[in-house]
Amino acid sequence: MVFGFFRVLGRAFQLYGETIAYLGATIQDVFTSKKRRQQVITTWLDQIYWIGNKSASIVLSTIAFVGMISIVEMSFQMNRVLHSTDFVPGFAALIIFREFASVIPAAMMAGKVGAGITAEIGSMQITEQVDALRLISLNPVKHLVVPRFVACVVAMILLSSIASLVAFTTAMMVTDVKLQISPEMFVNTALFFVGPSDLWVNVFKAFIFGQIIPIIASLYGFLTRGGAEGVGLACTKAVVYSGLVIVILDFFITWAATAIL
Amino acid sequence: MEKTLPKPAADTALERAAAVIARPVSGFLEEMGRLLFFLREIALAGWSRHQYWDVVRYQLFQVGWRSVPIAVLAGVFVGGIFAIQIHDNLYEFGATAMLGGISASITVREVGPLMIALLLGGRIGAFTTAELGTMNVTDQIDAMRCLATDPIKYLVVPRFYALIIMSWVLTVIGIVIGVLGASFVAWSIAHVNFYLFFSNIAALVDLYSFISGLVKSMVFGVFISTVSCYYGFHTRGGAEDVGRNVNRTVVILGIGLLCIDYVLAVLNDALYYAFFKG
Amino acid sequence: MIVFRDLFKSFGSNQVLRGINITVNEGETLFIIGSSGTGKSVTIKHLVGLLKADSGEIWLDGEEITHYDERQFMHVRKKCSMVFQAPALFDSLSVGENVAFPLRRHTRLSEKEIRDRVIETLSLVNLSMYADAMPHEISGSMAKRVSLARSIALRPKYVLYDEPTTGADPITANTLNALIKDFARKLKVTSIVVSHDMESVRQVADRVIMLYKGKVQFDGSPQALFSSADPIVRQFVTGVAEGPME
Repeated sequence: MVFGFFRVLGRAFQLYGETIAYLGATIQDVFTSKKRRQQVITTWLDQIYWIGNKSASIVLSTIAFVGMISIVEMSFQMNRVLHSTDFVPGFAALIIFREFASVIPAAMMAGKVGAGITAEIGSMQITEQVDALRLISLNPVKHLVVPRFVACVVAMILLSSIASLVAFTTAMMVTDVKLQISPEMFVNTALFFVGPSDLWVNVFKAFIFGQIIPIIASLYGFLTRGGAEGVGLACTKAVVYSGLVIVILDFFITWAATAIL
Repeated sequence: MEKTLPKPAADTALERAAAVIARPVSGFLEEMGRLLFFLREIALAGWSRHQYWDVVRYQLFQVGWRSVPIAVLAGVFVGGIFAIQIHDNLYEFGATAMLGGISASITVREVGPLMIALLLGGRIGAFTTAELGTMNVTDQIDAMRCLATDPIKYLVVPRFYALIIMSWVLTVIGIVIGVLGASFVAWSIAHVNFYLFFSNIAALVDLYSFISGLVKSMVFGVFISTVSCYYGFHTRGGAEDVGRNVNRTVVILGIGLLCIDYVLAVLNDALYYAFFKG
Repeated sequence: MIVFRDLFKSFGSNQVLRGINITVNEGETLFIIGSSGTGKSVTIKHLVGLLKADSGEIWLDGEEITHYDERQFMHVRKKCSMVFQAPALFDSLSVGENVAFPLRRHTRLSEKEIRDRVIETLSLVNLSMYADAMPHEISGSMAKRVSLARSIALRPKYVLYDEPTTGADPITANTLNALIKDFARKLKVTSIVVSHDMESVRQVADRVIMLYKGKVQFDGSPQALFSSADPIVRQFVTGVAEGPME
């Protein structure tokens, strides 16, 4: 089991390295060949459109509820500890911008888009389409992983920026109703707590998570064996492990951020 | 048939807009109703004394035991993340002594149940839909019916019980591990020693919080098993339909769990202030 | 005895059955033939409650079962089992456990008696040595035979076969035909076979019913079928593309 773990870990790093290398090659193509430029940009935009579209509804509706939940929970705790709810907007905004705006969209994307990528590549793998790609001398990593990688990173950064605003807005609405703190007051308090560095940390996290999801998803896609059950199993593994890796990396990024900033 | 119906006179912009809104809303309500009917069927089948306990045991192992390592890992890190963030907030007020109490309280009331529910939703929900959906499109469910075995009782009810029981067990594990992770982070990063950390937990975490957390995780368990089994059972057509329904399960579980969590948080708050504080 | 009287069934705007009248006598092997979409499978699925009739009556051994609910059908299904076109083995259970499945739920046999009955049933289909294999480890034709074995494990009075030989190679098809005949003779089961395989009809059938456009077009012995003068029946039997059938 331990060896299995290290083997999969090794494969993950290998796939990551290959993806970055082929990403470089693709970017070089874009700058040197006019024909390839058209092709690559069309594929990328297509993928960004698909992935962003597929995950937008689930990401934005979950994050809306997260914004509301954090106000309810924060005001309960602050009432008991500080005996005042004046700083609830500040605390809620902080945790929304620092954590929720990147982690919740990443988890939802892993469930929706990550599983989709695994299912796609996994069923190509079991129907020998991946080998067919190799036979016409197209590299599967370059042609399957790189476009999804780029699309996931871009979509993740865009969605987490929108998500932070959505959560901020729903939090503001609930605060207005529940704590009678006006939106104006809310924004003032929140801006007192949240600095530009928090926004940059959020973007950085989105950038990292956006890379984790397609790499783990395509890794389990390529590792798929057996029939339809194999694909189902691979999807489950991809979702669970990308969620786990996201949480673990989030911890270390948060730690580093508080230590540095 | 539908072509023969008179075309509704949706002439004004308002009526057109109403039609655009009405369709998804009525579709949503219809789906909710079907889910509730399915839940009723599960409840009726699950109520009787005769149950397939061997299958329940097998499912408990599948659902629960194998999720424990993941729950432990996730618990440690999520607990740690919240400890760092809460410490940051409390530090400015010189209230770091409260760190243990607030971390534990948040974990018990909100983070623990939600974390385990999302984990089970990702690990079990989609997989159950795929499993039952595949059984359905390969005629296995009809075959079971023809062997005079109620598929709801044999396939759904054991998963339902197993998921509820294991979401309790895993939530308790997640809460304990989460608080331990938070205490470790508090000690190593925030320099709040263990004695201080644990000493004020009792002041902020009461039995009510604990019970509300467990009620929440039970509702999540019911929701996850009902949705995932429903979409597995109602797969029509071939493999693509299985894929489509798995996708549906993921979306509905994601949005539904957080929506339910918000509703329960509001209810919980109202109950707490009505009966304990006032 | 099974009686279908004036059975009607539609799916949406598609009227599939338009008044089916069939009587199945005890001990006979009845074939229901007809081209795809004429409602053969639909007819027999009514008998085990997988579909509900729009109108008409279904009688089984002197009981009207048309309006039975799911719980009442559970009793019907114990004496009237069905074999599907796909093997539909439960893939989480071994071959032996698949056959034991109905025995465990509906009989009070001991572990040893169940084991004996499983081996006995599997040896009827010549697969007694595969009891511990998993469904994905055996070939498609073996899986088909296991599903036959599973459906007779409870020793039902009636067995319904939904296109048993469709998609099977000629040798497997012959084996399956021989098994259907065997069950009828050794276990005294009444069989209803839905098929469009004329070779099976020739080998196994006691009586044949042909459905056309949701109605019974022909009812008689196989000999009568092959010598029938009805142009529609003739076209189906000979399998030519041009003729009165659409």
